[in-house]
Amino acid sequence: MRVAVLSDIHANIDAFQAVVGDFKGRIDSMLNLGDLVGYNASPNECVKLARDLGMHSILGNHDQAACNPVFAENFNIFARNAILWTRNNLNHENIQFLGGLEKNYRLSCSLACHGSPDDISSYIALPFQARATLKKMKKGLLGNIKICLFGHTHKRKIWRMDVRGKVAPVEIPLDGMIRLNGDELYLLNPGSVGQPRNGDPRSSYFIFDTETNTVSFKLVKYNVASTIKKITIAKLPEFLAKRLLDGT
Amino acid sequence: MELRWMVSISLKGDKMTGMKDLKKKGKLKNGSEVLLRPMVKADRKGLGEFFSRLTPSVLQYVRNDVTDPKVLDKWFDQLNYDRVFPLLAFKSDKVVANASLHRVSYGWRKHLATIRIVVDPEFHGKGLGTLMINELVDLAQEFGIEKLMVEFPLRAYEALAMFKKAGFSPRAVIEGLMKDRHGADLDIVIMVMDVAAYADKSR
Repeated sequence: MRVAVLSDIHANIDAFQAVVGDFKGRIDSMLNLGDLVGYNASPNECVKLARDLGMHSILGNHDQAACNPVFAENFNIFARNAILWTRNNLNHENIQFLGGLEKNYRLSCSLACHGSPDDISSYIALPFQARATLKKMKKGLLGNIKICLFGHTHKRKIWRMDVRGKVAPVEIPLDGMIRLNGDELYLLNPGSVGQPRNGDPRSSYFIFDTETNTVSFKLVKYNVASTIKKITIAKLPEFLAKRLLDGT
Repeated sequence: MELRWMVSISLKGDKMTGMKDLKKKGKLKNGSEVLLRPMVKADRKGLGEFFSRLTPSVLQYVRNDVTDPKVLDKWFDQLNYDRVFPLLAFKSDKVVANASLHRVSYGWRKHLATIRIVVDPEFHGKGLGTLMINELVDLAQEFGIEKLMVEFPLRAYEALAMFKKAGFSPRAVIEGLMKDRHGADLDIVIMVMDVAAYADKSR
């Protein structure tokens, strides 16, 4: 089965549509690792598209805060401003949909989460954080899984624990394709569709082939100017528009 | 290049949320509230009044001579949030703290920012400094900054405790590097934090 794995779409309908166009006809199912909304200006359009496509979505911290602003209290001033705007602009049906999302999802021999398997707001960005999750996987504390699919950092990343228990990041090859070793454990982050932070403004996602055990990372160009125009019209913070130009 | 030009034009209008509209309430230890928001040009008078209330013993550790109106004028004339992100805390419309995130946009320090903070002595020990630092750390995460650094006199024990609480750890002490206003040698402590480690709420 070929699964398109997306994360952190963040209400960027131009990017979302471009990514859907990229994998259309080449996959069997779709998985969204959370944060359909927040930051950008098309929350209703993104939730509707995810629902229309039958994409399986899990809950992100911005989705959670859009449903209940109490969870936005610890957001920084930019994220908070954007999520309060999102809350005011999301229709009731879409709030209900986001409120019904689960925090984790089991797919074949993998577990999908937003931040980490324990907490949607936690980051897996540093070696000690990757090691903590991989150790839990090794001990079977997260079920019988070999792979954890995560998002939240907006940066595409692969962490690997080898058979000796050594944890290290794995460089993503230029062609984006990597074959996973069945004896090893992995943490895989597809990057962000709607607000990439790898220093490349293109949307990022990957296709996970559960039969061949391969992951193909993809970068997709989208109409950034159109997204910036929408942010301008919505009167969202200027910083949120400017950052899309550089992918930071 | 064309897109960047077009965007710079479209962002010039004041239709988007301005920095003044980006505000957030914060709670102090005693339960009272303060308002946090980025500093804007209209804050020139309020910031001047804030610094004028501070005693020489507090001001001696401020990097610039903020008692000189020309220094403050320059800050406001050259306000550039990509280089320095200044945050103010207000209590009853009065500035009670000023904290800032200083960045370099290129080279080997691109991933690093430094923090500077001055809190009204009336608000010392009330959690205002921690509130400001936490907000700057969250903003650093948003800006893609990986490490934060702060330096101050080693004998400023309250600051040491405050930064430790915020996730910083002491990495170096340089003996006798600075001098106080009476000319006595001061040891300086340098504290650093990994932003992504702080952001891990599960810790």
